[in-house]
Amino acid sequence: MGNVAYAVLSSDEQEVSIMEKKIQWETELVHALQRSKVEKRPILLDFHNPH
Amino acid sequence: MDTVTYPQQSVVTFIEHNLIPLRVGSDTQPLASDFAVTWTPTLVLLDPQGKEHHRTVGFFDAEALIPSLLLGLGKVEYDSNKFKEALGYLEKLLAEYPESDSAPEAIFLTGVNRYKSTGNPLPLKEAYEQLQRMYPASTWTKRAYPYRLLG
Repeated sequence: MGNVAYAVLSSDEQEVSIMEKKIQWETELVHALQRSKVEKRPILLDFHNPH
Repeated sequence: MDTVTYPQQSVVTFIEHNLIPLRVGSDTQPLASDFAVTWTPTLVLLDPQGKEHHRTVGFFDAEALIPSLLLGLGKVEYDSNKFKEALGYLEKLLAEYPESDSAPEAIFLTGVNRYKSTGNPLPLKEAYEQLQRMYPASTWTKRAYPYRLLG
């Protein structure tokens, strides 16, 4: 295996990893507006620090 | 927000169910100029036409972000004269997050909503009385002060 580091997840950790979801951010206003009209949900626009 | 708030599953679920999440850098033009963004994080709620209805600046943890977003969703509906839908969001905020910083404004807006939907000024007075009882130091209690004379 040399110096390759790796970790084995326990079955519980694998389950948590699979279950956890992340916010799927749009990155273009035009796409968000299209989805907002179709899905009838307002837009959460987050201006973040890019640096 | 990235390390503390957004990974919270309650936040992920709330945003995915109620909003279209859009994220851009604060240097993204012309958006940053169009929305006069000068600090981060700045969160803005927009309707499907791109019109702004709610804005916050600065960090929120999950327990503060969700009620703030509920307030914003209520404002989107209220600004479209959808008073019943607005009240749904405001009542959920007050029932589930009564200790949040968004609660006093939600009580104020609930009173205004009920007045505008019925023409009866009594809900404005009730909103003031509730604010005075629960949040006497809030700026929203001060703003509702004239309503004590109604009814």
